[in-house]
Parts: sequence; structure tokens; C-alpha cells
Amino acid sequence: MDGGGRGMPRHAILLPRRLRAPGRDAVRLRHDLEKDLHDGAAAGMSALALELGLISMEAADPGIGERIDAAQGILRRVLDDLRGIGTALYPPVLVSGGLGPALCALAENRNLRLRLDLPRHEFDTETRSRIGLLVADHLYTLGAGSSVRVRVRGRRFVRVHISDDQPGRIRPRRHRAVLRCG
Amino acid sequence: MRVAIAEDGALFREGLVLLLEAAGHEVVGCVADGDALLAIAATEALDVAVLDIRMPPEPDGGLVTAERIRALSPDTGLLLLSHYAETHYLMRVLEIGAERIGYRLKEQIAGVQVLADTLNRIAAGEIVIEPVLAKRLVQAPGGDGDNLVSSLTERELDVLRLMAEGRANNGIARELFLSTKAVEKHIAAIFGKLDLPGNQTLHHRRVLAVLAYLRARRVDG
Repeated sequence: MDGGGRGMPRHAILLPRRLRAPGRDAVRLRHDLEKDLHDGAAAGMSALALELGLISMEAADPGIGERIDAAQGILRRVLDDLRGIGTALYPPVLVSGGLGPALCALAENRNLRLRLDLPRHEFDTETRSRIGLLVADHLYTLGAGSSVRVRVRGRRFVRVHISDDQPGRIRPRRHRAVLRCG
Repeated sequence: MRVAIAEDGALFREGLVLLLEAAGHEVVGCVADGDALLAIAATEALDVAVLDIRMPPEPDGGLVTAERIRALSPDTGLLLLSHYAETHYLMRVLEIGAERIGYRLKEQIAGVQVLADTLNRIAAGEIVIEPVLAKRLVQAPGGDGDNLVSSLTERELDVLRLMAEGRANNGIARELFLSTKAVEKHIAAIFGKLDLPGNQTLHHRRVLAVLAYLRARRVDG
């Protein structure tokens, strides 16, 4: 749905669409799943890559060495996939870096042009996570090369405005969400 | 080299010890958190400390510990490892220091040669940056009016990518099968086209200038 459907009144096209922020339970679940992925599957795969490196040292047969290199290549691709899933579940920079760095990192990874307008005050961890995941989930819907503006305001009632301009679209789309926090 | 490791994943920690020993290094300490590594750094002379970024003290104990080790023992090289390649982490690593320091993905150092190359470059005073991250920064599209990177030749883009990895001139020359004189010419051309300030002869300043440029052309706000 791009808001440009036939038969839709013009004012409906121009009104911002409403986005829904994930609730507390969803935030906690996504955080825990990313942690499990990082500490479990990803850590195990990285350890396996080291083990293959050790076996490669002892392999006298060049053919075996090549097969080990190929296996390490597969492992690296699997780890790349896991990184992608982990970042979509809960951007890793959101915990340590906060809202701005996490969204900038995501925009960078997805080749988006991001303009951020955040309030000067800090949000508590839970609010930061809910806003971060709301915006991150939207960034995942955009194609590479899109330009996106994000504006966040308020404390108890946080208002999030997003406008995006995707290559090939006639006009920018606008979205908004209101989160009740605290 | 005398190396100490802090990594909270037991399997990866043990594998890294074996790989380091197989490469001929002496592992003088192997612990699961940053505070324990700091205690080792306070009593042992270390050439390089290897730290997982995401370990206790949470959330990013590796970065906090690296900062403390740098203050305690500035000559000790620091190699920070992570499951994620993020410029946010890279910038925090470079805030800790712009010499004898590295940031790499865990699975990318899983070979004796690449591990030895990484540690040797750090011990020699270089910045070592994960090639995946350097490539992403160079290849990323710029903002409005940013045609400067696209004005570079293919060879200059290769040189720019290797500079963003923290490679010195002789390292770039080796990678691209060029003479160091040719590399110097390419670097001068890149600095001219990108209008980059600073002294190109100082390695770490050059890397910082390149990274700052590549980041600044992408994200506003």
C-alpha cells in the first residue's frame, strides 16, 4: 500500500499514516532473542571458524585445505545472515550507543540517507527501545537509496514523525506515531 | 608476542588460544571479562590484548576495558573483536586510540595468516580496521551533491578502501601489486579530488581523515 490508490480521496493521500510502536513485552522478547542469537548460534559459528582455521594449519593435502577454505566461506555467509537477523530483531548499537547512533548505523547498513531530529533530553531505556524499534522497522521497509527524515518530540507522550522519499515514487510518504511512555 | 585474551564465550576463547599458540605467540592470560584482563595488564608486559567488545562489564565491557588498558599501559596493542561490524563501534575504538589498535569481526581472524597479519600491524603501530566495514563505507552512496568519490578511478577506489582499512603505503602496495611510489601518487590524487585536509605522511591522521570524510558524506542529524 503506497497511499496512491485509485478512488481514494486526495486528503486521504496526503494524511500521514499511523505507525504502531512495539509494546514492552515485544521489546523484551526481541532483545532476548537477539542476545540468544549472539551468545548462542553466532558465538558457536565463530568458534567453529577458528576450529577450521586450526585444522587447516595441520592439513598437508592442498585439496583438503581448499575444502576447509570453502567451508569457512560458507560459515562467513551464514554469520552474515545471522547478523542481519540479529540487527532486525534488535539493533546492537541501541543498547550501548542510544537512539541516534543505532538509527544511523541501520541507515548506513541499508544504504539510506537519514536525517534525524531528536530531542536534546535522554529517554529512559524502555522508551528508547520502543522508539528505536518503531523507526528501525520502518527503515526496513525502504529500498536502498531512499531518503528519510525522522523527527521525535515529547516526553510522556512521544510523537514520532517519519517522511520517506523512495527512488521511483512520485511524492514522499509521511508517517506518524504517538507513544505513551513512563 | 605476549598476548592476553578477554572473551566471555568459552568455545571462542579456547579456540583463539589454540590458534595464537599455533601461530607461535605466548598467551599469558585468558579470561572471561574485562576486569580480569585489566588485572593481568597491570602485572604482565603485554604486546597485544585481545578483547571481545560485548562482554562483562555489560554492555560493551571490551571498549571500557580497552580504554583502561590504554591509560595503564599505552604501549600495549589492542585488538577488539565483535560479531557486528558497525561504524559506531569503530568510532569508539578510534576514540580510545589511533595507533596500535584494531577492530575486526570474529570470524574474519579465524586463520593463522590473517591473525598474524592483524597482530603484526597492531604491534607495528598501525590502525587495523575490518575490511568489510571499510568496503561498506567506500561503496556507500553519498548524499546530495556528493560526486567526489564517484570521480575517483577504479584504482583510486581500491587505494581509498585500503586506506580506510588502515593500511600503510607499503601494505597497500603489496595488496595491489604496485610500487610505493605509485601508491603515493594515487593517494595524492585521492586527497586532491576529495579535498581532504591534513598531512598525508602521518599514517594515523590520514586514516582518520579518510574515515571522517566517508562518514560525513552519508548521514545528517
